[in-house]
Parts: sequence; C-alpha cells; structure tokens
Amino acid sequence: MEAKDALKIPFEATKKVIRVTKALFAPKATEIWWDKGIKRELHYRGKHIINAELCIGCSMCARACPVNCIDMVPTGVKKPRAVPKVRANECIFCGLCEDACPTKPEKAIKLTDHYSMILEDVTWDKLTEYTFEPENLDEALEKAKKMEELLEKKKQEALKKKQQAQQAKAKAEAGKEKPLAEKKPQQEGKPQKETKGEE
Amino acid sequence: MGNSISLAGYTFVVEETKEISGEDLGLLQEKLLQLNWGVQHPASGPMRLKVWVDGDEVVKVDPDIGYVLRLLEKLVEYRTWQNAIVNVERACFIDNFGTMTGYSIAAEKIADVELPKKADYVRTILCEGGRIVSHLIGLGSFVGVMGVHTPMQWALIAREKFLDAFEVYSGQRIATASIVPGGVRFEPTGKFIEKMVSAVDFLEKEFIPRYAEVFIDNPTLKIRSQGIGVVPKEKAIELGLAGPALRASGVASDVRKDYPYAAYGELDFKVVTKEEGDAYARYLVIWEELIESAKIIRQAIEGLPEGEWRTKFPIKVPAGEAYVNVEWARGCFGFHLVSDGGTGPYRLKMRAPSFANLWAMPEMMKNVKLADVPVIFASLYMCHGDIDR
Repeated sequence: MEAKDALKIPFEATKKVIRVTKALFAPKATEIWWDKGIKRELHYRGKHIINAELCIGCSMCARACPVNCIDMVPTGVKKPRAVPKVRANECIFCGLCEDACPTKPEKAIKLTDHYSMILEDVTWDKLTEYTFEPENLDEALEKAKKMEELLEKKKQEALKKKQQAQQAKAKAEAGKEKPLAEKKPQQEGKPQKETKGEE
Repeated sequence: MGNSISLAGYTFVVEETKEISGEDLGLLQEKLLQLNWGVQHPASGPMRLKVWVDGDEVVKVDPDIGYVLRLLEKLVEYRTWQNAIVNVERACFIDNFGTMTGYSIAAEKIADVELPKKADYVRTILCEGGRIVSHLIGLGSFVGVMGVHTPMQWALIAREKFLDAFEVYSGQRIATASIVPGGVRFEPTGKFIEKMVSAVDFLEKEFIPRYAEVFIDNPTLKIRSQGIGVVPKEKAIELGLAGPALRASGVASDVRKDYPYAAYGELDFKVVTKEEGDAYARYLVIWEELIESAKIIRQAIEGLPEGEWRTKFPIKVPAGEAYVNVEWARGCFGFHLVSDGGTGPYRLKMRAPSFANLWAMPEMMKNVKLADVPVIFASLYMCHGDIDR
C-alpha cells in the first residue's frame, strides 16, 4: 500500500459515516401501508362483519358458501338459533354469503373494505383458529334473552287474560243457556239439507 | 430398457433410407436427444414439453400436462347453481368473465329464465374487458419469449386500468365472481362506467399508438416469427384449432358473430382474419382483436339500457341439459351442463380451446428448429389453467 492510499482511508471512512447518518434520518423508501387507512372501492370484498343483532340464524350463508368455510355456532337462544362464524383461512372472499343473506334492509353478514388481516408469529394452528366472529354477540344475546323474557311474560299475561275471558264466558253462558240451544239446531240443519241435495 | 420412446412404441425416420424402431432407438442416444422444455422453463408455464431433437432440429414433441389440475368439472357437482361460478371462473383467471357467462347462459337455458337487457349489456362489457386483459398478456408474452420484456411491462400498465375498473365493479381484481345465472351480481354504477371508459381511453390513445410504433411491423420480430409454424386453412380445420390461431389461418369462425349471445347480436364489429397462418399472423390477429374489443366496449356503454340487472334464479332447476358455446379470449369455449332437478349441476363438461390448440402443436412443431419451439408455443396463445382444468 502506498502512502497516498493510506492517507485516503480516514477521508473515505468519514464520507461513509456521513452517508449512513443521512440515510438514518431520510424519509422511508417503503411505506407501512396498513397504518394509512386506505379506503377501497364500493364493493370491495374484505373482512367480514357479522351483526348478531340482525342475524336470524337461517344458515343461508353457510349453504351459499362455495368452500364451506362458514360454521353456524349455536347460541342457546331461540331467535338467532345459531350465528355464523367464518374460518378466515379458508375463505375466498367471493361475497356470495352476503348475497344469500335475507335480512332487509341491512345484511347481517357483510364484506367490508377492511383488508388488513395480519397475524404475528403465524403457525398453522393459529391460522386455523383465525376466524371472523360476530362482534356484538354478548349484547345481542342479552337482548334476545330479554326479549324472550318479555315474550314469555306477555304470553303468560295473554294466557291469564284468556283464562279470565273463558271464565267470564262460562259464567255468561251459564246465564244464557236457553237462547243458544234454540239457535244451534237451525245452523246445523242447513248443511245437512245441502248434502242431501248433492247425493 | 427404461427408454420411454421404445416403451411407447414410436417409430422415427431419422435417415431417409433407414427406419429405426423399438429397442434399436437406444443405440441412437448420441444422435437423438430428449430435452425437457419446462416445467421450470420461463416461457412454458406449469407444463412440460418432451422435445426430441436431432442436432438442432425437432423430431417429435410430446406435451406433458396435469401440473395445475384442479378437478374443476368435478367440483362443480358439489356446488349450488349460484356458487358454482367460483369454480367455473377459475378455469383461467385471466379472462374469467367468458367462462362465467357461458355457464350462466347454459343454466338459464335449462331453467328457462329470461334475462333483462341490461344484464346482457353488462356481460358484454365485462367479457370484452376480460378479452382485452387477456390479449394484452398474450401480446406481451409473445414478444417476451423472444427475450424482449418491455412490451409485457407496457401491456401490464394498460391492463392495470382495466383491473381497476373490475375492482370498482365487483370488489376484486382477478377472481371477480360477478356473473351469475340470472344476470350479473352488481349494479353497473356510474363510477364503473367512468373507470371503464378511462381504461379504454388509455388503451386507444396511449397504449395502441405507442405499441404499434415499436412492436407491430417490427423488422426484427418479423424475421423471427414470419413463416414459422405455418398452418394452411384446410389443416387448421383438420387439427381443430380454436380462437385467434384458427382465424389467423383464414377461417372466419367467431361464436360472437355466428351464434350471437349476450348483446353481441346488436353490436357492430368485424371478425379479424389473416391468410398467412404463421406465428406472426396469429400475433397480429390478437393485436387487431384488441382494437376491435375496445370499439365493442364503447358501443355497449353507449347502448346500455336502464332497468334491472338481475332476475330471480330458481333454487331447484328442472331436469334437462344444455350445450352453450361462447367466444372466450382464447377461442370457442363449450359448456355441456346437465341438471337432474337438484339444487346444483349434475355434471358440467367444459370444452377448452387451449386444450385443442395444445394437441395441434406437435403437428406444427415437426422439423422446426429448437429455437422456434417457444415462438410457436407462445403464438398459439394457450392458458395452462384452461388446458388442465
């Protein structure tokens, strides 16, 4: 190595250090796209949103699914008897479940424009466990239970009313037995005549 | 022993006077060399050509397919009438609208469902969009196999505009699942029409003049592809070629014109034919069809009627069968659909144009130079998903 080259070494080293420090504070060449909240188009078929309050548990979406990735999870309540659960690993995002959903005007299962589906430390088990589940299931279940209770109350009330009405009727009938007995034979007599004529 | 040629029992005339067959072929190993063109060859795609060469001359070609077999015809039997489209469209992802249209028309024929006019027009727009997308890749890959990759990049830029339009329409760029029995799935919104028009504008004003200036009538390209893989008119019919390859041999066969489906009967377009029948003619047919398709899209958008775009399709279809042909990007695609009165198809047979072209290829590749194999292969404009299904 000559003396001239040896002199150049510290000069070039400082050049490199400056370049590296510049690069550290420079704006990034690549973007982290999932932070940006980019809006996709109108019909974009991304992550599912399942609204358990709207769902009626008819399992039409599970039947429409071409890859059978929708499971109907039983809820234990009467109104949505079962709620869809989408296995995200198998879903092909065709959107046919949305087409099949019969709830109006808003669909209970919808494909949204959320497309960031990131899993960290992915293993096969984690992937198979990754599902789209109804977000407001607990609230919906509580509501459904309340509704059921209300319905039961109403039913019981209705039953009571009926019983009362029957009792009232029975009392009333007991008072007016004679006029009813006169009417009945007249009503029954007409159809008997008609059948005779037909024969 | 273990020689696949002798096992198959082929005979070759290597020298004019001497005929060699069977076990004796083993002695000719120095002269006859078997090459594997593919599966890892950049131009072949997921398929293999066994090429026997004598020096630089190709003696025999044997295609070896099945690398992307997905049993689509069988899978359809496990689907309902509506969601079978996701299997049908995957015959070839590049032009997925043509296959979905054919299947839907067949299902509508069996069920005796009448379509609203708007659905027909939207189908026409989408089918032509798919054809353009497919032809762009065909053009790019044809020049690409000769070692020039610029046209592919240009074609992909133009293709991207159409994919954007498809995304606005259906929500996906490639596997759109947008055409179902009983119409089309989504409303053709104003934004979709806008995007489609802008894509066609880009194609006609930017891509076509720029591409035509460089890669059409290009002397180097002509030297490489003119007079190679020539198929005369009679032989093209005999071999059963399909699509642009058939039209390049002078046969004006186009299902859109001969048996109009969707809205093609009401639109004005011409069938592109060439007389030469060589690789360059096939390239030019693809190129001119691209221009023609852009015109069809403009006409269909102008004539787009108002009204419903989807009618109710019954869940259970009465027993019966239908055979429907559609002009797909790569040729005439046949659908034989059988119903047994259930909730889904009983059987679907797909007649694929690329498959027909593939088995015509060994005939065309006899006594050509080894370097011409990729050129003929690319000029036939085949899709591997379509060959295997």
